[in-house]
Amino acid sequence: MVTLDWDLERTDGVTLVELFVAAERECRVRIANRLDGAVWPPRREGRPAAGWDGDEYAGTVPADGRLTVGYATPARPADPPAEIVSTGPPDATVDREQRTDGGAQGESVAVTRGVAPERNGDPTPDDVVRSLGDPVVPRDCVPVPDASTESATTDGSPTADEPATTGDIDDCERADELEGGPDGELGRRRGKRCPDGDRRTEAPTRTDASADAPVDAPADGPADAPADTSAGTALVVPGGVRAWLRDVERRLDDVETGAGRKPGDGTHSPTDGTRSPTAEGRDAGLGTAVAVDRRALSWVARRVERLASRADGVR
Amino acid sequence: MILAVVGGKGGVGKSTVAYNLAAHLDAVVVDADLAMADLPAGPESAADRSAADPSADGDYGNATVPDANTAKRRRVERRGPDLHDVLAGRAAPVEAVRESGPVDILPCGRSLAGARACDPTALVDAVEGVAREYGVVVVDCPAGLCGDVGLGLLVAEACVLVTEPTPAALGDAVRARALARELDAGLAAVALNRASADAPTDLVADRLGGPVTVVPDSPALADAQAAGCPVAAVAPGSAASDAFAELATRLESLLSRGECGGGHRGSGSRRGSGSRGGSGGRHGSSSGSTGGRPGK
Repeated sequence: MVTLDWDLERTDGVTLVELFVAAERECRVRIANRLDGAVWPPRREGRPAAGWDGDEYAGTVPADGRLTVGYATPARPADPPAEIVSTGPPDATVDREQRTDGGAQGESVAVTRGVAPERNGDPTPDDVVRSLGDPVVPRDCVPVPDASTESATTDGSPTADEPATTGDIDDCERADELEGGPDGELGRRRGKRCPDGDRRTEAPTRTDASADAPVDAPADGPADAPADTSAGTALVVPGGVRAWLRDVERRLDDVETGAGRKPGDGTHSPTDGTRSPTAEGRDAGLGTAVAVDRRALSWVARRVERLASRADGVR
Repeated sequence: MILAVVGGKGGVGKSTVAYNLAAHLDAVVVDADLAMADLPAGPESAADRSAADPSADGDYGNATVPDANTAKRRRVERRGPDLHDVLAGRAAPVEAVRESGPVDILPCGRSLAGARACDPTALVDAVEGVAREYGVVVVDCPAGLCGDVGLGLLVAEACVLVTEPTPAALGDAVRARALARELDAGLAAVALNRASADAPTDLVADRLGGPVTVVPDSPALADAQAAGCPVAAVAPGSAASDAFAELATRLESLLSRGECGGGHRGSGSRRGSGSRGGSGGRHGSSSGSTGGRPGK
């Protein structure tokens, strides 16, 4: 007899689900979410933790008869939040060690076994990443074009007419996608820094970077926006603030275009036109993120207004 | 056959060994160091090459060695997809292989933005795809013991461990060896790089559990790598060239005995399933043996 108990907590638009599986003896269970929303499983190194497959979790109730599982979802709480869809005898070769970390690397590297029994217990690429660490380059490592050198390189660049299909330029465009939203669609072109030091600019229609505009500038202002979008003004805004505004802008772009795509998450397939459940889950996450952005922007706007008037007062 | 070249420590010569080994094995070398690619990418096609450098004749094996600046210019002016594009789903793995250089190569992009946009786990399918078409693939893994190294070892049937006769390098080699064992990539050979003839090869072989080939420190080797050529093309008969030939012979004998797994793994029969189908590309053996893998 396997029973499922649960505890639900709703906070900031997210429901945290705690599941407690009780069994009389060691056994294998498969649990499916029943809430009306995407499942956000716990992640190890960016990958869903061992045992998770979409909105289902498979694991083994240990000999002490108690297994706890947790996940988050944007769905509202309901009873029951999840159901046990199958049970069976414990499988010695599958998920015996659902380690939470790799431990000391080397001799004790934990390569967790595949979740699905049909994999014969062989490690999968996701298992490797979970155990050894996510090798994706950290976001902070990606060079962000800065305004001072942009304006200097938009004139007379020998590569100005280079086709956009060139490898390095393509890479740099991805940097824009990552850092500043789909600039290409808006006809904005910025100077780009490639890691090899090569700087290229293609067909600039304006020399400022609206994504780098100061706080009080319209993020999507017209091409002939007044002086407050000039490179010089943009320079006085700290990079952290500009980076945050770029992130917000990117999320708003995603929502407005309905794409819900996160170019930087490293898992998307740009050629894939179909919407996966994962994409829907991201959309829900995006909505939550934008709601948080709205509150933050509003607070920052008020704070900026107060500080600006104080700064004016001491001039 | 898919070989991973690993070492743990950075700067021990993994890329040099991978590149020269691929030259001797007539293999495709995959530059799997997503964030710090350093293999000579090679021009994509004759048309692109002549456009980039009209003086280039492309026949590097004919003692015409481009200088380092020419090689760098070619890298900068390259065209065509690379491993970043493959791992981001924009290109098929075989499309990105460049055959016009001295060594067939699946080069890696050089931008961090490109590296960030990748799905590193796609490396496994990409390398298998190249192996299906070309037979032998040498994967040049990055330094460290992170997931990217693990993915290279996961897809490989055997590994070549590159190390130096220094405590730091040997310590990391032991850890890389352990990781390779976890991921079922048997140790095919150890390349003891920048070592003198009196290096303690027996001790290293004993600790790492595989045959050791000494690769002597060689200016010719460094020059060749900087110019984007295998040392055998620049300085045939040199000690370094002979060392790689010996290493390649050792690996080929393992391959012919089916001890490196005998061909790539077919999709759906991921490792350990008991039947490593050797459908064989240009070089794949037809062995179905899984036993007797070296260094296990």
